Amino acid sequence: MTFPYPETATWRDIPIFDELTSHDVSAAAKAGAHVIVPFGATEQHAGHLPLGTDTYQSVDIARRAAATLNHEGVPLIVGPAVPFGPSAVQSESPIDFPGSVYVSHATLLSLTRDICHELARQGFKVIYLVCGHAESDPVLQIAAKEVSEETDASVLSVQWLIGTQPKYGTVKRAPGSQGHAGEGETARMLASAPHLVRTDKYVSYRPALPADPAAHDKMPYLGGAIGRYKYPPQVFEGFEDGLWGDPEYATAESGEAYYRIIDDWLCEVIRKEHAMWQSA
Amino acid sequence: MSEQSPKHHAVPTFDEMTSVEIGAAIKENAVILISLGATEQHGAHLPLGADTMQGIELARRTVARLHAEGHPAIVGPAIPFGPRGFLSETPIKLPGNVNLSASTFMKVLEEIGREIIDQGFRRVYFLGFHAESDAPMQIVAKSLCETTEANVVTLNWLVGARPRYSKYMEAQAQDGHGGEGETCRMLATAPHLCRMEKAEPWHPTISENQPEADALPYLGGGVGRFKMAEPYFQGFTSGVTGDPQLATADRGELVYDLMTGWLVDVIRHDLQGTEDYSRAEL
Repeated sequence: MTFPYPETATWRDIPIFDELTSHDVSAAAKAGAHVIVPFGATEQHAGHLPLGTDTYQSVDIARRAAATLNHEGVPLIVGPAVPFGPSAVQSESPIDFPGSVYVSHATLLSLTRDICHELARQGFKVIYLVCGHAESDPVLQIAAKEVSEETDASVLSVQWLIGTQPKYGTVKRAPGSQGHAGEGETARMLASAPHLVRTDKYVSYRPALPADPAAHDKMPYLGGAIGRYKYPPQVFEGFEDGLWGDPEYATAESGEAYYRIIDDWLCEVIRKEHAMWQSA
Repeated sequence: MSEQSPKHHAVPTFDEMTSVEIGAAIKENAVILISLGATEQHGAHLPLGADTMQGIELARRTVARLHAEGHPAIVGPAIPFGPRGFLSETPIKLPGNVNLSASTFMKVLEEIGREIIDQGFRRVYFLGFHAESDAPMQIVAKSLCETTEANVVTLNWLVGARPRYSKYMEAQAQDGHGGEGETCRMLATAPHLCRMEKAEPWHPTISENQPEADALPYLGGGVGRFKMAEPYFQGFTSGVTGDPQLATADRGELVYDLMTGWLVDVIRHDLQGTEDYSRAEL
């Protein structure tokens, strides 16, 4: 599909960056389109989800936003997806698993900065970095800040895990906390790529976190005040499968519902940003 | 003014301690608090070192209260430099700023952290007092946790304590850099350095109907926006956001008490829950 996209385009019609031509990108920049760059990872997601889980979700979030906003006449294209991120925090995944291919923070920062500079050089004025891998979050903040300082473009890092918090719980069915490869991620993968979900491999696991934590003891990428990167070993006793949560509660329908909540928030942010720069 | 902040003036900074005293702190497996400040304009009324001074003050108050509860703790070396201010908070260059790139700042913090850990400290806290250091300190803490025996934790009081202290603020409008809260604390910390006759208010022109969680990540928000379109910064010349002229030292004390209370609570929880970080391996 060439840019501009027909008004009837569904999110599945929205091309990823690799599927566009140079002419499409030129037309998008001239039309004042914003770019949304999906950040994922190549990382173990237990026995039931593929290594590219974070990338799949980020790309789909970006395509859904592009479809929703295209329908409203707000031009947005999906930028080049980044399928690598920094290693998992030990406070969420304390052991190494085969298949994870990480890059250092410095490497991701350098890569992200370069991609943003390329897009800014080609005339894009507003670039969103959508985080699909928690450990990339502070790196994306730094890259967005620096490239905003160094170019005419405004680069934003957006964290839907925080933006959707008031509504996210309305979809969740599992009783306890859900993290890596848990109900939410599994549901979204059932909506995005059901053929890649090994539903016969579902297991449940939850670490024994302190029952009575201090106020705001939550990771910064979730809007919390405490960056904690290590727990004593007893907290992760029996951690063998590389997940946190209960994937058996996931359904493709709840995956669609999660994506809708994410899309509602993300499109609202982009819509406001578009309006702010239009009126300036 | 409060029995909750016992004798913090007696707590030495790192520079004031001796090597022998540091050795004793390591033997006790003391907590060490590293404050992340800045050398940066804070309007016409506050000094360039405002972030560093507040960071050291909060570390001393926290250490004093931990001591009073019988927990060994010391004030670590404070870092008086940080990354450049967000353009979405301070869009103009003002004299006096001496900032680092995020990469340089992360190298400095990582090397200081490694020095401290090599000497035997195992309970290290980074105490953010400069918004732009928030994301970098998370990255460095994670790296040090992955590559050393220590537990390095980042603490962001802006999320942990500020929502509860807003009841002490007189201004109804948004408070920010060099504003009422920061000026209250500086009046409590270093009144001789506050030029209150020069304190002037400024407020951004904010558009209505903000999306949910539309705040910078260091405030717990979900949108890292680093540039604003006009007319947001209309009339911005002083480098201040908020109402500093309303500040008083008394409320600075109350705010410090609240912040200290949160920090001590976090560290107390950690000391109960992380006994495996004892120095058995040393």
